[in-house]
Amino acid sequence: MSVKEKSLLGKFDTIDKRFLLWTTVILMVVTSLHPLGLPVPITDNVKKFYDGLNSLPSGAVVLVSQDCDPTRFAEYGGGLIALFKQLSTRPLKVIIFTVADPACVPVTERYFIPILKDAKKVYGVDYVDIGYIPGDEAAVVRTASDLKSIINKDYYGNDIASLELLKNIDGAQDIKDTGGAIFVTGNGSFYYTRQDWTVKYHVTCFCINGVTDLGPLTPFINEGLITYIIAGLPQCAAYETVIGSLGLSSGAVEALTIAVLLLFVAIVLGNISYLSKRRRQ
Amino acid sequence: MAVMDIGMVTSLVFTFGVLSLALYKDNHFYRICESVFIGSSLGNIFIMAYKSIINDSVMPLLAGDIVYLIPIFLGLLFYARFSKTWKFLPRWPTAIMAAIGVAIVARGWIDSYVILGTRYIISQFFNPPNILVLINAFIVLIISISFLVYHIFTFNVQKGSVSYLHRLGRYAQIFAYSLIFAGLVIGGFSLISSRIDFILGVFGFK
Repeated sequence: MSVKEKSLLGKFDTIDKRFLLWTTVILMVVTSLHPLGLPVPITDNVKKFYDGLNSLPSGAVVLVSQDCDPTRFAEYGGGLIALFKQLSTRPLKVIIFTVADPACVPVTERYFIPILKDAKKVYGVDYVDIGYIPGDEAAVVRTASDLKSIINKDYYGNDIASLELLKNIDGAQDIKDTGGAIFVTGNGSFYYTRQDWTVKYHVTCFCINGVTDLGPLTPFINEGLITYIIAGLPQCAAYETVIGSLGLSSGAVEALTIAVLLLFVAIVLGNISYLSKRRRQ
Repeated sequence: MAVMDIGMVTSLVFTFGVLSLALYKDNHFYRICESVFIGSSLGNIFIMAYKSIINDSVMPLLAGDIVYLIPIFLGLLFYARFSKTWKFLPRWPTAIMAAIGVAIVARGWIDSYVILGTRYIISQFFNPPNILVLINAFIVLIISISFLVYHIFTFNVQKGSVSYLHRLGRYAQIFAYSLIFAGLVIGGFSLISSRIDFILGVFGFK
């Protein structure tokens, strides 16, 4: 028989979830409007990521497998914007494509290409956007050994043969020979870390992903297949701080912290309420 | 207030529409937003796939590379589904795609998950940089074994040492999945946080 609760704590485990959601949203709005000025800890892996990119030699060719779709953009899109900002300050050649989901391509076009354009990078010479390559993991295997065999045109319809940047680049070994690296993100990260790019050719791998991906990616980090990694909104905010360009992640990290704290308090109170009720029953 | 273009207005309306499900209840406004999202995503994927087939298969074929006839032919077989006589034909491209997919994934998994993973754990036992790494390697080893036990002994194991490993495997999975779920929740809050930032920006509060 259930016991009718009168105290607020007693009612906590049966509270309407909308009450919690409204409270969360209101707190997040207030935090966004009046930042608390919480420090953003700059962890070792963020520093290493930044230094690792800076240590790439001038003229090196890097591949960015942009597999962050619009639904994941809010979590680590800020980190990717920061990555492109850092890339644009270095004399590196950038090849961009997407293998995981065609929905990632508009993200590239809207947020990342303008950064390279603003940095006066020349299309075809300093950077190339190939767009979406279908085939998921099979495509990734092929890009490592013979990139040009599966692409004929870039995202804008230009012939691949006409692009100067790709003249001497036909796969992982060529990129490695220039001293370059790969930058992976989203679901694509898993394709590269278990296929030839890292396992066979040992190309240096930088990774920007969500918190959820960190667990499944940990074996690859331990094994050295991923050399540098930034995971989740707080680390993306730290990365923005390191490159000196606060943006999307820095604006959202405080609100996220407050939301997570509220959630934690709600879980604790809900469990206390549930356990005390069960004991009395 | 920011100067609103059509994209910004659409984004704002759809943000409110999607949030209305969580903050209010299931409603027509939310349903419309959901349908538009799915429809536009499919439209986008269709265009990308179409462009890819034209650029990377049809154009090389027209240029004389007849190897591309094979994937195009296999793709066309999917349309045999509409015929009562030939509706079994799509099984062939499906089987080929599944076989290639499994082979490629298995090839990668053996190297990266099994061989390199095992080598890493063993190396930590013989040459640990500090005690924490050794403890970590020990936990990974025990949980890996318990996980295998849990999935091999699928019947109800009640007694003996196997039962402890079986139970440990179950708890380890609960713990791992709860961590993944926590990550998803944080990811969800990141999305809301970024949307709130966007809404405040549109109305000129930031």
